[in-house]
Amino acid sequence: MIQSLNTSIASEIRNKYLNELELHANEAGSSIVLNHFGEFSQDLINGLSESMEELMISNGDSKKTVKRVFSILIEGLQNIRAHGERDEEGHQFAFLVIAKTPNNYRIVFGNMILEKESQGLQKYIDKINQLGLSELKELYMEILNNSFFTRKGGAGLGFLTMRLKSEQLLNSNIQRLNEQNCFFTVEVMVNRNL
Amino acid sequence: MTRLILLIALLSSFVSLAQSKVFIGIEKFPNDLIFEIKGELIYRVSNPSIKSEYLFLDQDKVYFRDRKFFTDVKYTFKNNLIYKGTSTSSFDILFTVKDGKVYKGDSTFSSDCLFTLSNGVIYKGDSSSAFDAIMSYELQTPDDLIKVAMLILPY
Repeated sequence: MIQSLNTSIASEIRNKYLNELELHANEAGSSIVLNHFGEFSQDLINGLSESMEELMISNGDSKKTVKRVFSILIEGLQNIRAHGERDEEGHQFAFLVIAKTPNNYRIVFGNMILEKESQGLQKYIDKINQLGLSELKELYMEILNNSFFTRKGGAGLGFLTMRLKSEQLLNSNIQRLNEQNCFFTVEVMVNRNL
Repeated sequence: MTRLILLIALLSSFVSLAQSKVFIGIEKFPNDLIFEIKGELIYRVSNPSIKSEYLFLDQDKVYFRDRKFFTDVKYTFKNNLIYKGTSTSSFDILFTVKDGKVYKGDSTFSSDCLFTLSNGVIYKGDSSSAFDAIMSYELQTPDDLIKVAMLILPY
């Protein structure tokens, strides 16, 4: 792992993760409740999701908020596993940061993507940010139906679910790492008072 | 007499409210409701106040909206097999439904399983893991399970 972090991409992704942590740490009223940098195994995803659920229950969040965050967390982490690119050594480095304010949970997912896919991804997120509830549902069914016969399956359903469950716009960012790769982050807000 | 009429009206309103429901995700929030099944009619729910007729079932035939022309038949359902249009030829088998699982064509291999319906949750593929959960449902009658399956089939 230490050797991998010496590669330029791995350390750059780690720096982005540290910047994200610092950003939330410096924000008034905000505190980090869950964070991870590295690879996300299925066991780790299970553990993180369960920990977050327990943490929210102990924080006194409503069942509805817990379910929303749980859904978003699962979708985001599954997205990373299914679609996150790997570095030159084959590591699928990514990060998760969840911050809490009195009114919101802010969930940030970051992973590497192919540069050639970055434009399409940004367009897709812009598109779903513009859609209303009924259009989002229509698109969900369309993608679901098509995904039954595609190789990776369901690409894009995760973002749609995040948008539907958060009822807020997805805030995404894409930065170029090198000629082939970009780093993608998506931030999802969940209102704790809904 | 007035009380009796009121009671009948009240009871019939409960009967008319009885319907199976399909939701996006597993939380079953009102905004996540996407289909309502009321007898033979299935509604597509755009938002909590707007719904439109989507499919109509007449015995073993499934029609788009409420039309009943043979050209509007989307599927024919017979003996756990779903056929294309009005056909019941083995060449036109689109899906097989068995033990709450929907398979491609006439296969029942795990690798051909498109989705699994179990305990009110629809999972992608042959799975019952929370990570594969895509939708959820509430059934008014067990017979509605096949209708739920037909709603999410590719067409």
